[in-house]
Amino acid sequence: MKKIRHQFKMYLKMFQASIKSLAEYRVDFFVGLVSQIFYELIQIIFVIIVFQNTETIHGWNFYEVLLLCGLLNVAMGYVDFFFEEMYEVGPHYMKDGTFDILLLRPIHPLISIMANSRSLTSLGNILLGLFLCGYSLFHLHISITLSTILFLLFITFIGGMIMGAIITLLCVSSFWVWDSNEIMWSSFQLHRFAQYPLTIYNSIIKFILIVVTPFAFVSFFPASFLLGRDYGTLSFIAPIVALLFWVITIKMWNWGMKFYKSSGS
Amino acid sequence: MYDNYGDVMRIIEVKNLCKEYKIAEHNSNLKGYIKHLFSPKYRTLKAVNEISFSIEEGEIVGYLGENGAGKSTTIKMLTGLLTPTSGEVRVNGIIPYKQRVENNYQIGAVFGQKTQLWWDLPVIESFRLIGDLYKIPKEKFKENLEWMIQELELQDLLQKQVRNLSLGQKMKCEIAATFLHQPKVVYLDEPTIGLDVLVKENIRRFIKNVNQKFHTTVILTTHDIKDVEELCDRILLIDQGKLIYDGNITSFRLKYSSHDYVTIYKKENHSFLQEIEIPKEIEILEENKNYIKVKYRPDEIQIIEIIEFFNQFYTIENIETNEEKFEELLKEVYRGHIHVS
Amino acid sequence: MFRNYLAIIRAEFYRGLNYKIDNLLSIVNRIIEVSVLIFIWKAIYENQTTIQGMDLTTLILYYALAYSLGHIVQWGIDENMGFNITTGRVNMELLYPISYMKYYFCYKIGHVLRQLFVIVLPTLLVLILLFQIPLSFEISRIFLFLIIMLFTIIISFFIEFIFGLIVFYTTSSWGLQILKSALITILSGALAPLEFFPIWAQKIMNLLPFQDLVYSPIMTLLGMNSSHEIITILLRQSVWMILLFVITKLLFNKAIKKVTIYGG
Repeated sequence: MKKIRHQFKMYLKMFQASIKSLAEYRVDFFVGLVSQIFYELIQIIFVIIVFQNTETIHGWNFYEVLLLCGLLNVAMGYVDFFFEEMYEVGPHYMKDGTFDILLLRPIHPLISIMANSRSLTSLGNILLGLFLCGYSLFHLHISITLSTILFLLFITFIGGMIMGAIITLLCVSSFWVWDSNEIMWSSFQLHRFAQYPLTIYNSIIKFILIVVTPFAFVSFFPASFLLGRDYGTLSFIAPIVALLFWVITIKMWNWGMKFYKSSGS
Repeated sequence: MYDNYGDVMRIIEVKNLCKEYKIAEHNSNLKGYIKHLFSPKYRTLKAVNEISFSIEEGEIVGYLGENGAGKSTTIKMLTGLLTPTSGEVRVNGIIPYKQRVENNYQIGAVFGQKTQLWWDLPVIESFRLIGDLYKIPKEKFKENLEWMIQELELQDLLQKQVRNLSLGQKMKCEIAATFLHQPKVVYLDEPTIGLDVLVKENIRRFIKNVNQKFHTTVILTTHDIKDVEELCDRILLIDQGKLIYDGNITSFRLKYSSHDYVTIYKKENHSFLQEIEIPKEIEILEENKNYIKVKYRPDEIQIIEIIEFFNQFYTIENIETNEEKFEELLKEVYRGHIHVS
Repeated sequence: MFRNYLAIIRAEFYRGLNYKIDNLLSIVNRIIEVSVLIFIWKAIYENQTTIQGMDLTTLILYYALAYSLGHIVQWGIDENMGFNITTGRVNMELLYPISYMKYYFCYKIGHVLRQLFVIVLPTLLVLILLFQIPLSFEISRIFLFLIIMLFTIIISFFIEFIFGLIVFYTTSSWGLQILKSALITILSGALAPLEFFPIWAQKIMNLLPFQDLVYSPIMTLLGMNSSHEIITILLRQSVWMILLFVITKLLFNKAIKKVTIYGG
């Protein structure tokens, strides 16, 4: 228990240091913030355009799809906040040898990497997502009770952790390939499918979204629950899915580190 | 070549060159950053302060000074990458920052670690591209390239990708690429940094040879004293933006050297030095069973006096005299112990 | 004669060939991106046969072309230019015996040629196979399409160069890439054909040059616009080419001045 507390404390301290260095780049910060929001807006603009030309997609109306987007956005916000640095592991940490320094610290390297994530723009994503959720729930005349809010906050956090586990798992490839960030980014594009109702896809994609990269647990199942649709109760398996994936991820990381230490690259 | 007044024009003419910068000032804490966001404060820094010199075609000149003294700022103005705040600079009659592209045809440059080669292509491809880029006539290109491949031992490197070369190999290719189009002036900024002795010698030899072959004017910026001693007849010394010395090395040494050194080889293995009183005009640098190294000021004591002194205690077998090393001299200048004018 | 220009085109063409994984993943990314969109439209077309005058097959072909061809205009040289500026390599580029702007124009040509073979054609091929898209184009339309694409490439060069120049003023180029890519995705018609947008948005987009980057050439190729509209496209492109040239040149001179006075 003490060990975990120590790791947590170290995370906080290192995160503080990362934030301080961010203050150096003020123009870059604002541009990055605006750009991120813009990028997310494209998704929303597309949804608007789609619903200019139809009433429903497989029975899901505009606000319901918006809810899917919102849930995904909040989860993505968490992912960027904690795990953005994973994209740097291959091309920088491994290539420059900085990873060795992390191995010499008395904490797990993943903690250091997570602490180096200093994406303040992710907060924008979380806020935007929460706004979208609230907006859509309001227009759907679904009462926003305390339990709704708690559910929202909880499930999006779990969703973020699931996505984070997937990114971190993909990051294990850094031990073998320096361009891991490209592989990670590509694979992660699959999350785009989660912005829309699962039913529109063929069985292969559905399988991938539920079992292989369970993005369905981030948006579709929680939304189904909030909307009183089928499969909604599956969202309560989400914590188990998250736990499962994290166990796999950490095991894979430790295995990768063993390989790394023995091959001495 | 002659300028408007009928005087012989040097290939590089620099008159009263100045470069000023505005530096932001703020406290380096969070409060300071925020304050600076809303009401920024600046102060003026004179990176280059009224520098004047002229260089003849075919000279190899060392441009020396501590880090931050204004060397790279001057070089950037000479290459046209920076516009002077005031003053005049002409390279072969052209004002670099005004006619940068025309000037680029007649110059070459190596800037430390940055490369003009194409990272992902084999070396030979980079050379061919440079040949096309500078529109070097095919015959000349072939001739020059073959000569350089020989001089710099590049045969085995030609098919390798630039990114796979070691530092020494990369620098040799870089240097070849720089001289390939027979530029009139070449600026070399730290060309031998981080390289091993053999490669350094190879590069130095090449620079000497190419200077003789093409009469290329070379401006060399370096911290490696041996580079300067081997290649440069003339040095320009910069300190805090000002030119404090312009002349050749030997004159520099003669003018500013204050100490000489003598090594006295003795027969006796053990030392008497603890028991005797050493004259205050001399300083014992090193002492072992074979010799004693002594530093002294020739204006305070004569070498014959030193020898007579030690002769009282030792049997002197041999004597070696050394002039103050150029490196030591420079160190003293940087430290401010010697004032140059 | 043009040795120096050809040299740069060649250099850039071959440079990018070395990034095999990057290129492959670019193709994968685009395929995933566009697949999501196609699935959505497929679902929507279950209830109707045409939307804004386009049937499903045509729309899918539109997207296949937009996301393969569109790569040329979405991921241009501004990323490379920005990178070279922030790493200081720009100092070497400024010392080449060729104007910086001409240098990047040749760079763009090499870039486009390479992207054509390495990304555009493979992406298009995979999409055609994946979604079983039937192909048939009129010869005259292909010809007109090529002319429009030529102008498009020139226009996108100016846009990219301008965004690259902005990096001379900011410390990082990454944020701008995202912004520009987002803007272009929407305004060029890559996200959806212009007709799918609300009328007020269409009016704005009609005034801008971006629609000619993706929407206009593809609609021409698909035979979905009249000869009158094609003439309008060509005229509009010509006007924008001249306008953007002037703006670019002005900004370029300003930027060079700034760089040489304040240092890189």
